[in-house]
Amino acid sequence: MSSSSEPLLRLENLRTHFKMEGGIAKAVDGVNYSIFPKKTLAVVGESGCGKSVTAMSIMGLIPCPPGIKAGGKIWYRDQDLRTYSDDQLRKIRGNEIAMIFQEPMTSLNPVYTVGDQIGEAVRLHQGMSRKDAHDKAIEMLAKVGIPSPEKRVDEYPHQMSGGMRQRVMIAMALSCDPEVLIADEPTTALDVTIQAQILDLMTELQDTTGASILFITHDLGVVAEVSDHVAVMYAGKVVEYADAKTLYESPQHPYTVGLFRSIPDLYVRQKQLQTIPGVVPSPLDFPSGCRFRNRCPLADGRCGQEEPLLRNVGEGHTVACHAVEEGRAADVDFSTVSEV
Amino acid sequence: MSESLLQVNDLKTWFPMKKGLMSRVVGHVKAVDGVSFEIGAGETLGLVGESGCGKTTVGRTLLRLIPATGGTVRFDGKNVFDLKGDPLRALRRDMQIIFQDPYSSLNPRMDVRSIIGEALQVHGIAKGQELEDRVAALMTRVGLLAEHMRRYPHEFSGGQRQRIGIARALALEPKFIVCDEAVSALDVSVQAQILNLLEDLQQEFGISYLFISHDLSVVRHISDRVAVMYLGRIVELADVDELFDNPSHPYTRALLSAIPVPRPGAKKDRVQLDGDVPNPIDPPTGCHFHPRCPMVKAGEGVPECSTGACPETVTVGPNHFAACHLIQPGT
Repeated sequence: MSSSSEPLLRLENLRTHFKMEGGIAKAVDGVNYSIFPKKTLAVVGESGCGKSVTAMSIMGLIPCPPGIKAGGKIWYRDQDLRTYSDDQLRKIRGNEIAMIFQEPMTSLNPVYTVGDQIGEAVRLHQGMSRKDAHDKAIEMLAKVGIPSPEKRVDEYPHQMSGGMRQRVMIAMALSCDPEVLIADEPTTALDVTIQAQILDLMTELQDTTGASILFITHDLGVVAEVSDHVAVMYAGKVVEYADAKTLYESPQHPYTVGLFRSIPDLYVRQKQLQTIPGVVPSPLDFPSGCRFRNRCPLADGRCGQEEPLLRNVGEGHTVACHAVEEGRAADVDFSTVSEV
Repeated sequence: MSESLLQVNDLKTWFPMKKGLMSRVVGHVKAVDGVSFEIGAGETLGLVGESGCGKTTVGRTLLRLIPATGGTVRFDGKNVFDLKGDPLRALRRDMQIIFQDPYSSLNPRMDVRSIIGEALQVHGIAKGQELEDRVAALMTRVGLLAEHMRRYPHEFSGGQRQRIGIARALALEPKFIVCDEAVSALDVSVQAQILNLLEDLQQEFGISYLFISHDLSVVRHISDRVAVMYLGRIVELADVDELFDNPSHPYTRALLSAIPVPRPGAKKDRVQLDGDVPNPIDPPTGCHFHPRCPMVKAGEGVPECSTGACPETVTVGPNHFAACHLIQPGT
């Protein structure tokens, strides 16, 4: 890897499956990525690619059953979190690894004041008194830019706007000064002007607290703005990993290439958008070999039989694609794929 | 510009706020408050703004899905709000809508044939085998397999469901379709497929679109002209390239600068807007935007911004209009 320091959190071949009526859904099926101290890793992919399930697995928030811990390791400070008991995990969760969820409306408890909810973590993990926790909540609200925090601390979530609620979520997540902050689509439900405020706030707080951020999103614009490294996920696997600049300037995997081409450009007006034909396969029934092959213009016989592994194509840039490995991925033309 | 198909003049949609035992009306939420624009045949007007600005209400009021409080809408020379009975039914055939959420806008108990064919049946256009043939043709046109006609919505993916919604809107061969956040719920690769489909259909049938969206890159891609709304009013309206390259209203400039660009390191000078969109129950006096306006904050405002009347719409350039006290009319 390109970074000089050791990763703070490292996923090794992580697998999380779900038992479903129609069979086993392999939502996360061999994910490898690392999060470095004080850096932001963005995980991008379309719905159902397993990016959120990966995050929930790190937090130990997947109920089993229906979830199945199908293998792999989550290395955090030389410890495998997968082997932790619920009690051990509870000490880490919200304390050393904290999470911000997408929906600020549904992930706050409507019957407690925001102050109670922010204070809960510090009372639990740091044994603060109710009074101190209340003061801490005010301090955190001020930190995330909520005006008159000493008044808002006693308000309920419904009294706040979406952007405010997301700030409360961030205040809650940061209250214990976590090492790793997992942000699962934290700005997706927000308007662009509010999104801009929240992204700036997160970058600013990262500078002051030194937390590492795992940023999960489907918005490639947001990724470019916040991330140091990017992992692209498709059908339960990471298909490409690189630092942000490299990935945006020379994406290698045909899926990544297709993804970039399908975003309308704000500055250059294209005549027709290029699209990736077909749809994401169902996790109950992934194609054999490479999971992208049905939609890929470069697929050949080997892609149907052998699963591609992540291989180095440059410094800190890995890609899982046979065509890239064989050097025949120079030109990706999706119009040659017949729609299925 | 081509002859306008739709002319909206000073459209107002107010929702009454009721209170107490007798449901006394204590005030109004002015969701749409004096909106005017035109759409030509085969043209796409993008309507952008943040949540709560009234863009969806505009679309629904035009189609008479919500009663208007004031103003006029003329479609194809007819006053939409005056029509009743048969002429209204005839008009409804020409004006259709595609909704945002492909999950909740299709009846889960109807199969695709009934969903797409319902309007044909209701309007007495086709029945029996002919109906089936028409539905099959529509499904093929939007990229669905006609043999899936007997399936139910839950058997389709999000993108396919949106195609069903499009086929339903197309069934009556409308002249005008309101696309209300029609691609917002879709993943980018699928979103691109649907945008291309909408453009192809426009080419083929000459349909006009009112394309309502909060996603400015999508709006830039699909629109001929764009209107920007803030708190119930249009603050700027211009040809798409002019609006994006040369925005004049401070709100439009802030909105454009807030969009994250998919290029790392491409940090632009962001015009940061503080706070949220104000509550439309109690909008700010003067210009609705003044409490968040970066120009007012920078001390460049005039007294009218906060205390005067709502700014009038002025012509800034050819086909370019804006409503701001700080903008001088151009030519």
